[in-house]
Amino acid sequence: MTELLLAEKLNVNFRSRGETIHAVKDLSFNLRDDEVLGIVGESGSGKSQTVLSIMGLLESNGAASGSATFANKELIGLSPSELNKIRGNEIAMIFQDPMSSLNPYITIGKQMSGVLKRHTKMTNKEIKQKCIEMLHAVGINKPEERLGGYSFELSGGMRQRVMIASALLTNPKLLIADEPTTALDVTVQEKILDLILDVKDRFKMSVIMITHDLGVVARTCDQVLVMKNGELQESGDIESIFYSPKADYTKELLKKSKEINLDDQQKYTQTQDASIKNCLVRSTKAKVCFFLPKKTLFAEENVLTAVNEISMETLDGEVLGIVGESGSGKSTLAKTILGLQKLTSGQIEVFGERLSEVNKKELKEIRKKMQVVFQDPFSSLNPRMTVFEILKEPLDSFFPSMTKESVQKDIEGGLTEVGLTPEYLGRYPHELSGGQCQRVAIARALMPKPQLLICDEAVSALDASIRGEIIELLLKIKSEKKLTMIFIAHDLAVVRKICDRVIVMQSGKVVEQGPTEKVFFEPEKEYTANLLSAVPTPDPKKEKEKHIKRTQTQ
Amino acid sequence: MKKTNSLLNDAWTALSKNKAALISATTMAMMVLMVLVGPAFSPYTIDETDWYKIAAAPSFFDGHIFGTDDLGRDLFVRTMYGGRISLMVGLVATLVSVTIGVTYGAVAGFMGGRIDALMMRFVDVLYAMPFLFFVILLMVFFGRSIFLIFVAIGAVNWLDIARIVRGQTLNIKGKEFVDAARTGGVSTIKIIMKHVVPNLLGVVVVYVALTVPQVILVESFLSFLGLGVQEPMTSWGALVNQGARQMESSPWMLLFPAVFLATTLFCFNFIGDGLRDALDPKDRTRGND
Repeated sequence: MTELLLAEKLNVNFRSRGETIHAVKDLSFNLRDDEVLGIVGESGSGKSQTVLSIMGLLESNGAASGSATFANKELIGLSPSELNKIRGNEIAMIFQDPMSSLNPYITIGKQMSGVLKRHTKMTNKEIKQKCIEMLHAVGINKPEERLGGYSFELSGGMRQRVMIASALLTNPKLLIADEPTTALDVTVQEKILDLILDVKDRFKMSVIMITHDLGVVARTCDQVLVMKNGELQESGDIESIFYSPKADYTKELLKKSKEINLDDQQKYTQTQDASIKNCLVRSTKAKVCFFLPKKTLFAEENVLTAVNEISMETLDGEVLGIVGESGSGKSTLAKTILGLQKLTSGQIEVFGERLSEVNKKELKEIRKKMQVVFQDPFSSLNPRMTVFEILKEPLDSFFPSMTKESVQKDIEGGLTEVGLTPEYLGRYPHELSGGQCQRVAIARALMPKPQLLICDEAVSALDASIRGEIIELLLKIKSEKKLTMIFIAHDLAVVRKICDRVIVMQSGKVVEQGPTEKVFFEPEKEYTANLLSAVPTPDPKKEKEKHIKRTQTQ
Repeated sequence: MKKTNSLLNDAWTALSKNKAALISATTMAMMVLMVLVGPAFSPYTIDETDWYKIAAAPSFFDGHIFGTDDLGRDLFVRTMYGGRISLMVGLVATLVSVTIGVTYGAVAGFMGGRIDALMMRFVDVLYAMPFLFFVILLMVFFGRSIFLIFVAIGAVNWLDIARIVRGQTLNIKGKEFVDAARTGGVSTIKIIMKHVVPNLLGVVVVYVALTVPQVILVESFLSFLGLGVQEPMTSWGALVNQGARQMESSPWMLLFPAVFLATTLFCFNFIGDGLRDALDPKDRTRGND
């Protein structure tokens, strides 16, 4: 084995408003031929900046120093034109969001052929042939037709396949994958990770896999670098990192990821008592359809059924989990319960009132008892309002007769409750971190003292350690305030940890529902079982077993 | 405890730290003052012909500090009067069209569906009306007056703003904080005023900064066609237009009104830039609070 990439004392600095930020500090590592190197860390750990500096793709206020030699050639300080001979040719990269890394205005064929036109002297016919061959290699059927299509016609997983195909066109020696599956569903993630490993073997490449998910590392990598705040915490082969970690940070990461690990057989104590409970939300054959615009004047109406005759109920005091892949209609169901989306047919009763029959005033009364926390902490807070104004708004609308003093008291109290101090009141959302924003969003939802809290993917957009904190916070609030929660998530581990009962949804229908333990350990439906096994576990040995099992059944 | 601020308070603090905007605002204020009280200090009136000084160069001794035009009228007084008209048209017409345009566009975008379609088709119909034809019609029916120029320009300009604002609103409407506000029991009107409009401000302010100069130029175009202000009243646009014809023999006729016009346009652009930055919390750098 020879060294393919050797980094020594790599530093990345950013200058911003007169300050210098060290994004990467004295990082040294090496990557051998035919090896998968994982770089793990939370956001802000400098893992992406490391590879961007190697590729010469740093923002204009960033500077890299130190040394990175790729196939005996120094990359740091190379001019853009020289770098362009290497980028896309010998080193290829795929990114997190396949939607924004493919240009929606250019056909897939054109986009792929650009790479070959730049780096080879092939004729157009040969290029087309090669593109088809590569699309075929990444498992896209009917590649000839796809070439003339556009990226928005493809699903997220397909788009990532196209990205991988165009990365493979020039037969690179190194493939850099920056969080390639973070934006994808678990079942799709499983396939994409398998594909990356598969093409790595077939095309004899090395891979750098950047991720925050230790499960992904366990599934794919040979060597691991653990980073925090731009510094290397630990490096080593996968066995030693997972089974005998030395650095405290690695241990902490492992502990956290195992805490919410599915294979952990320890049963969580359930707070449910046997007494008969009130039913807060009851949905009977609820159906929500969206009418898509007609393609031609006399064409039949296109109907998308997002929620298809769902019957479910939420009992007083329980935490109900709703899981499913994207597009399964779980968010639409939440919006319908909140009265933000109209029912097409069926019935939803909230606190005993039928949503389709209430007037505006009654709806407001219901909403006072039912609040929501959304997924994206930045988009769920108005960027032009201070924290104080954000928290004041629900009070103003639900309790217009409150005095100024008690409003102030309530707001400060609410903020303290979610673990923030009153000094944050004058800040704007962009001055807060993602976790803090989510805390403010939770505080806002709690302002009118609701009985029911709906969390729509409330922790999905957060880093692992912050996710843990927010879950703790939600659980604490739940038990203190005797809240009922509907917890919507695609992350099964989180659901497993906090929910009493689970509903599994697939394309608008309920696949399975029941107590969490039963659904997770004795799933009745194959779909549920597949969903569960697709979640990567932070344990390389188990992942290897699973991989062998998958390749055998194929 | 830290004092809690509102968006406008914070914006004001940020704006007062922006040097370019501050200087521009001061210059504008001075110009407005000059335009208002300036003529009182001159011995001449706007329509008085000085038969001994036809197209005379600027001079301090006879009181024609900006010179005279080819009819012997004092250019200083005319520039000041012209400034009143130009600034008034620029500000009032813009203000009117922005108010209508933002409200209309925000309501259309936020309501969506059939209401949106109807409202925007109405805009399309108005767009289809030829501007000059519209102005001539107004003149024929109501006679010539400055007020009609405001109406004509305002009636056409708000259409652009309404369209831009509607597009932005559609984008903002999809954000989760709007849904959160609805679950928070906030009424539709309040959502539009507190959540949608403040987030539109950046776009609108830039557009206003571009519209004021544009409106001033449209007015001079109308004046040139004989549809705008009428002699002996004048505006900067009309003065520049006259001055341009005498550019070679008596350059001051062009120079003075042009300097005033250009300065105004510059100031508006800087103020607009400053406002946009000030109104966006992300673009302001905070002190140590």
